[in-house]
Amino acid sequence: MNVMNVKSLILLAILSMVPALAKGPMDFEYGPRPPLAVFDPDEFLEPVMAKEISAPLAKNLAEEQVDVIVVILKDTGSAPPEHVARQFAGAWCRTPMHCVVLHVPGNADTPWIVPAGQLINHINSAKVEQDVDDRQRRARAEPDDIHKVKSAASEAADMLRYWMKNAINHSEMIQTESLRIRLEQESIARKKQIALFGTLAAIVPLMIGLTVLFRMIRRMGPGYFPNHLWQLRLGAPHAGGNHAVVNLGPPPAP
Amino acid sequence: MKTWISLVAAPLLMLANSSCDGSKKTPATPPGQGAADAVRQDIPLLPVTKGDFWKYKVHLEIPAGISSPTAAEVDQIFQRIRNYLGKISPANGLPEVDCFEVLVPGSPPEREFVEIRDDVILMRGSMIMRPDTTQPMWLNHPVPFVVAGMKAGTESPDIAAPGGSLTRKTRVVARETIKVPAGEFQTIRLLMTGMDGELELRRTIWFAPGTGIVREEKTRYRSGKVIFREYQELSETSVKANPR
Repeated sequence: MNVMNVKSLILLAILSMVPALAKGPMDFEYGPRPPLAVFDPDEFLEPVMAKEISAPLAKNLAEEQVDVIVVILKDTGSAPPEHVARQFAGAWCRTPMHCVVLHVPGNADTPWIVPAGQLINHINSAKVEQDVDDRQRRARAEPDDIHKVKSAASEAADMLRYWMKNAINHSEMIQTESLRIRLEQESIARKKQIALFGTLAAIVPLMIGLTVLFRMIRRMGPGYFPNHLWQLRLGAPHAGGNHAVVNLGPPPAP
Repeated sequence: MKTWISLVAAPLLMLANSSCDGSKKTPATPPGQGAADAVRQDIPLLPVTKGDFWKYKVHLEIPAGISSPTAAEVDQIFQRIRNYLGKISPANGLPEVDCFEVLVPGSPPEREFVEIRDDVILMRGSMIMRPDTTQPMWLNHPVPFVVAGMKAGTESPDIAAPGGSLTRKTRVVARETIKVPAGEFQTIRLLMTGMDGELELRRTIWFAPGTGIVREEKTRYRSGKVIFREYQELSETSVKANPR
């Protein structure tokens, strides 16, 4: 088997693995996301009612990036409802904050409100849990399936809209605060600069003035010749300059 | 001499440069300006004069078996009128506050007491005008109901009566434009939840600055069941809001 064949086989093996690795929304058990925000394959709701519930949710998604989908299933099998709801969220929702309302008609605990998304992770989990519990409790108190679904959808949308705006406010607050601090620091730095250059600008003319004054004072008094600079001539006139010295004493003893 | 001139000029030039440094641009809008604009747009929150009215179309639903095991389901539509009576003292020793009278056919009138200021509406109390009623339900510490410039995603401080029998949590869910029979309004959508003893309350209010409450949904729960649901929409009002 030559090298080219080996390479071809490896490439083929990798390509055959790609579909298995790339498990996207198309591979989701329930297919791609439907155009309405209500997924009701068994048509528990009248189509008009499904559209009525879907309309405000679609508006919220378009205007505020708040995505709530309502899923109505006959049953969830052995899987916990929250897990099923998260599967729908993972396959169909792309916004940073979304929520799946799962309703299983006839189930005593229905509906479930399951929020998900990156932004949810930044909210205090106890607060999220409390909010979800309150809203689920109220939706479950409704007398029939239609009201349960309507109430849960409305509760979920209110909750997500509030959280989304709250997150935006929080981020705006941080931005505003950092901007305020930056402006304050810039203002202090500018004041310091002004003070420094102001001082410099004041010192220079002062020095000029003092120098001029000093000179004027000196001119007003008597003038003197400069002191004579006495220099040691090192034995002149015998030295002859250049610091050469001639010893005129008796010659040294032989 | 030139040396001196340059010594004097250099700091001044540097000073001028530092003041005109283009790299440090300050924002066109100072921090907090947006919030101030939002407040300005909302005021006056409710410009009322004595005799002003608001008429609402009300839809009431009470599920079957609530008032008694055999009670039938209630599904009614009726009109509710809210009239502004001016400043009134609710009872002896209480201050004069703004008073609304709420009229529903077949029920005794109810008076709502609030303090209306340009930038805030404070709740003070209410009283059902029965012959035997002499004292209103009165809040010694007024509670803000609507505040100019309220932003979506904020909440008011929680209210809790001593003993915990009455609690309220109010959140601003959104600022949205809605259409009701009286017209189209820019509103503040408030979600009020809480407990009145054993009754749980969920109330959504759409308040249009300059006009008042234009829509409201109220649901009450007891022992895990809905016992009362009411929707109301503004159909007519004498209050003419300035364009906002």
